Amino acid sequence: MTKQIRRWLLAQLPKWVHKGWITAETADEMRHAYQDKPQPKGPSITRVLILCIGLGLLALGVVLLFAGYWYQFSPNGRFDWTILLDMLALVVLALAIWKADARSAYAEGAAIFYMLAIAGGLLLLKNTYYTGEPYGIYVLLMVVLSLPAAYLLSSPIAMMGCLLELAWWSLSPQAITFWGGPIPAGLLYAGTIPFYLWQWKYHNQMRKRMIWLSWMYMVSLFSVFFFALAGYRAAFHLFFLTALGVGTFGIGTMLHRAAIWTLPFRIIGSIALLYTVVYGTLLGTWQQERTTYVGFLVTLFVGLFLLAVFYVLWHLLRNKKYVEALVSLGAPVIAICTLLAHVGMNVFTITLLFNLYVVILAGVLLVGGTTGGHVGRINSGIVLLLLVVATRFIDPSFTFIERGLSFVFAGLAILIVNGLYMWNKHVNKYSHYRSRLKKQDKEKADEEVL
Amino acid sequence: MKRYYKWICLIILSVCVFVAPFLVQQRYTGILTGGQEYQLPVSLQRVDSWVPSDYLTVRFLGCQAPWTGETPPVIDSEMYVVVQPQQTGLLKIVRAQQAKPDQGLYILAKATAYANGLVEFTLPFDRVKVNINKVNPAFYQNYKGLLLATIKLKDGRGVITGVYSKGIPIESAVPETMEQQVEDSRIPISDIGSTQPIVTVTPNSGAGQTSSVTNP
Repeated sequence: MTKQIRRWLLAQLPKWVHKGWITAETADEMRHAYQDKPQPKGPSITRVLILCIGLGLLALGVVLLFAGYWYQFSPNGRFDWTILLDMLALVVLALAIWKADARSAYAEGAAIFYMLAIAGGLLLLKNTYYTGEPYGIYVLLMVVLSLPAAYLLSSPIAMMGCLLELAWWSLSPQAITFWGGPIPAGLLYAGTIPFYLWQWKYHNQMRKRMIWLSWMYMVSLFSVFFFALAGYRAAFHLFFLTALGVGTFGIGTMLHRAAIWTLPFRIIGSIALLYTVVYGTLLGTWQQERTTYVGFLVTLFVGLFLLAVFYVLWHLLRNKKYVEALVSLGAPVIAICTLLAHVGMNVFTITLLFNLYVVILAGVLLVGGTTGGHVGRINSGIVLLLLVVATRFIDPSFTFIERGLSFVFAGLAILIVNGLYMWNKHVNKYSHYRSRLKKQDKEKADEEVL
Repeated sequence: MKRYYKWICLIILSVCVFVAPFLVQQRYTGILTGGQEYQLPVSLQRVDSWVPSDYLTVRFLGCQAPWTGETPPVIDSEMYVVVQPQQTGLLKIVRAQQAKPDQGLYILAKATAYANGLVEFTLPFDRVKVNINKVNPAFYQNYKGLLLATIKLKDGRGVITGVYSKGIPIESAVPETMEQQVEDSRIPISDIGSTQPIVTVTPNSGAGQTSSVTNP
């Protein structure tokens, strides 16, 4: 229950008692149950943000004072200044651990300062001891040094920063070494999960931060997953991505009534599924899939992911969410298509099969949406069909003439259908207006006769 | 004990925070102290920055090599360039490949283009620290003469220790005349070092320990 609803309810209680709908005892019990919970100590988040702007300006001023002379310091001098910045960050962190309450505005502010100082220090050192390396190793250090601070201060904002850094690391160009590869990225992501489960207990006190946290978790999860797929150039990569999309979409769908912070699960999962639709309809995807090697590990992971997908499907069917189950069926369909690509089936046939699934799904969404009055489903159906058409714009498997004519005809069809609809509506409206006028005239004539 | 776990964690974190800068520093100084010194032909540029800087951007010349691999290189990703030091200290680019070479000298580079079995690349270490006030601006304004950079290499990573014109450090060198520059620019990159004066360095020597000699 939100703060606004709680306040409205408390304000209504005297009126309800006066009208005799509830007894005074019941009102007292309700008042006790729904009274405003004590707010955490310290200033509000808005106040902290304004203070942060002030501090930010102050920091920028200091940066400007240093900027003009930074390169006049020797590398060792710059190193010393960086150490000083790190010390300042640690002092702020220690003060926050000592004095600030968990998740309070002070704790969040201290965590932000600590993370910025550590990241800034490392970037300054990268510039001083320049080897031209990509950001990967430095971002890895940032995440490793920031993650404990997020836990120590129980700071969702610091954790969001860590997750963003993790996404940055995953998507930044770097050599795939053991320390710069998907395994440490996955381990670090795994290290963030207990924090989410821990914050779950306090979701009533921090609804907005929980939603943002969910967004960051999803963005980071898919970034790390992309990193792993691209890093290992794995076979069945489209299937793995779809399976993850189905998993997050399924969790979001099953829990959406329970909590609003599961919204990012659904949305990011849906985006992953739309990505699958785009790439699944391209011939090149299946041609490339054929060149990959399917080893034991890949087979094992495909099996495990399929099990997870079928578990989600079973849950959706049990809850009578048939349309969502059809959406989730995309993962097994992709698995079958990938298998067919590896056994040597014509890629055109595979694309056709996948397109068939997408068209059926779009049809079900459109029909189900229209009959059930779900505008979201109608829009999803339209988006799916549009994506299938729009993907052809960049599909090199067709000539420019074929693609150009397809788009021209599709565009003309939409214009003609809509034009006819509008013209028909106009004619109906005009005839309706005329018949109404006639009816009024007739009524007038009848009145005059009477 | 439970009361102090946060402070114990903070102490461990503080150690990590202080170790991290030394780790970054050591990666750089490790190349400088443990790396072998070689030379490559370069050109210089000065990139405007919002703060006054103490370095010039270095562009290595002749950054292309035959690609040895079953599949073409992934553009914008890292790969290994196998190089062979010549007697003069100049590096000869031999080939480029995706896998790390088991032996020999190599540099980590970024593939930028691929065509007809040749891959073009850039080397990541593209800065040389100089006193810009002492460098003649002609050197970084479309200079066509021969400039050689001394680089230290270790485990595929490198650092530029200096740039020289006719064996003289760039900060005290005088630009060649336009005629000499045009003449220099006509020398094929593969022939540099065989007919021109170059910098000679002893292994593990620091920047500046150079002398100008003419190759036979």
